[in-house]
Amino acid sequence: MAAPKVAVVGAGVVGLSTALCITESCPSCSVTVLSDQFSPNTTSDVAAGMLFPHTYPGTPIHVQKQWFKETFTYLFAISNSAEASEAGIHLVSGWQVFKDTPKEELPFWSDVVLGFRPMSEAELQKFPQHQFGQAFTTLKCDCPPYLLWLEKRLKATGVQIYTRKVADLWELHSEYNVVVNCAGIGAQQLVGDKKIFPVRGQVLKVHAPWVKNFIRDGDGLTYIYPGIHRVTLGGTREKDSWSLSPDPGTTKDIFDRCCSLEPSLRGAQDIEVKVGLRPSRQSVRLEREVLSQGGVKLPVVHNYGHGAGGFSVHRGTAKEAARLVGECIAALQGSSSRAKL
Amino acid sequence: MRVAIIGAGVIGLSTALCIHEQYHGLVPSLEMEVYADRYTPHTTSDGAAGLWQPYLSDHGNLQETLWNKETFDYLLGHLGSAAAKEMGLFLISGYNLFTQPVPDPSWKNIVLGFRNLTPKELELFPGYSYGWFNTALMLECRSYLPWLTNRLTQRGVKFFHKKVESFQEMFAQGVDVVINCTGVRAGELQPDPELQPGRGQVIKVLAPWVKHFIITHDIKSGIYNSPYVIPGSEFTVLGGIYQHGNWNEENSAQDHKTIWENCCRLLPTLQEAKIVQEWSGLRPARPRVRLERETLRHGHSQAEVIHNYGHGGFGITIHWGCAMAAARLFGSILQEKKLASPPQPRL
Repeated sequence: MAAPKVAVVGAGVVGLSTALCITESCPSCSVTVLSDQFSPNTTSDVAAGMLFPHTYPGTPIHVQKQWFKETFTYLFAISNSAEASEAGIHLVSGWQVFKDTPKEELPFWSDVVLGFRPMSEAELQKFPQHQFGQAFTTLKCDCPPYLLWLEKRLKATGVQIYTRKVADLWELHSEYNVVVNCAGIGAQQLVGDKKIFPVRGQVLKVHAPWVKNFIRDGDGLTYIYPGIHRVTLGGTREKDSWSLSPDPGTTKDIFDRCCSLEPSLRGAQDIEVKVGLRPSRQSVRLEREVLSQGGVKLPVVHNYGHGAGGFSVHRGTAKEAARLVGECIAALQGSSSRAKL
Repeated sequence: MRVAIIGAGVIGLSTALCIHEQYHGLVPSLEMEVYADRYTPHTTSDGAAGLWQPYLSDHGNLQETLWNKETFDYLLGHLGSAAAKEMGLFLISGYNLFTQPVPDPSWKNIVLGFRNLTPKELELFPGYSYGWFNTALMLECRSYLPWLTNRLTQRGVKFFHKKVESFQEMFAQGVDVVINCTGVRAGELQPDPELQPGRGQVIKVLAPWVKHFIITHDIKSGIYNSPYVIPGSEFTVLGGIYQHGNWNEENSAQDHKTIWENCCRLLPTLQEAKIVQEWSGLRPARPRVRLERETLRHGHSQAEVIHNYGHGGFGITIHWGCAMAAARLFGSILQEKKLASPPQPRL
């Protein structure tokens, strides 16, 4: 096969990074990205983009750690380069605070982030309602810049990017040799996956440029993540809610919770409310499948269901997906050379 | 009782507020005036990035370390208040970098979360093999000085835009106590060979993706002669110039080049930063802060001066501790004049 044609469905952080990994591991592949939504209208654009792992109950911890480490290492190198500001990647330090001491004081990712250590008594005094905390430095991928930077890198390698709503992966079988499904929450409808469900998150993006540190409550519900131009205040985790409309009562509640962690936020300006549906699943669906109809086969690689951890593991899962694409292509080439005999 | 503060930088205004807060209630006749030829945003304080951080070594000046601590604790206490944003006060974390191991600083237990850098963190800074991480405070004078001015104005303190030529000029007007917060130009009021300008230059840029301060140190070239990057609430300050004895307040193209090249080498992403402003100022450098009373003859009577100047590159860092010390000196003057007894417990 001279130039295997690969279609990547989805242009969020997973779709774009997967497409990029495929161009890196398969330079002869002709890669096309198809999506009905692009930045700034993807789920990724709502997220703060903090590198802070979410634990997938159905995936072995060592695999999740590998994905996180790979992603962290990749972004760390970019954050240190002249491209950092264009890519929207920057280091940020801060605290995760707990009202009750967590069972697991050393999470699996503690040696991947920088400078991880328990908070001192003096640091905890700033959080009178919390009795335990962790201090560390991690990375943040600001969107839209990161997605736009990925798009730019893709176009530079000749990847075509089209706006197209794919209703059924099979519709691509005549144009492409391999299809990669990075449709996120869209996978529920696209491939009929009943195991994926939305976890609705509402956030506020505010102008508060004096906030330089992140603060996160260990319960995962209240967080303050400073980005390049705006600070993301969160949030909610509403399982099975499909509503993309901002709720004013929730806005007030998020703002109040964040102000109790960081009182200076009372002075925040320009409050913008956004809603995203985390594409949640017990485990990320990262596997091959072969669709077939009437003797015609279409190899598919699924890479979706990253839930709250998309940014944290995107590069690691993208590389794995690219590896699976390589396997699909090898299988196609194997069978086509057999067919020639 | 007329009190005149000369100087409206961070030292002058904070000393004025501290004294007024403590003694106005005890001395109803207290009239306070501020005299300065430069007000915010044209003071030396305004040019500083505003990072709370003392020099690496206190040279045995334990008194100064205590004043630094007093200032940090005072500011930390204000962090959660509604005034913090208006004061220009916020927490910031960051890095101090060295080319060789150094002893821990006197302020390691004053700041929050002080620790050594890990090998992975040092990978961010090629050329540096040792360093510290800690969380400290920023106090931006372009907000803090107006905030102090508002508090003082509310209290009825009067401001005069005037260059005072001598202490006698004040006494001749009927001022009883002069608080001398004239910074680098204190020598014009009273010669002080120990006071020298420590000229600095900074470039202010837009680089909102930088969230940490980064201060490098070169033991050979001395404090502040090594690049530093300090992100503020709006601009990021790039610096690394300290020229002892240089009175020139004009920006130097050579210094600009030095700062820009060194900071971009330290943090390559700064190449994308937009330059917004350039500024030079004179740190009021002195082997130790001059914080003491002086009784001067004025005709047949005595007049009092409290000196509070010579804070070098750590004025913001030490200001409140010094203001409190100056206020104590003021209190002793009042006691001598039998204008106030020390606060008695109420029965």
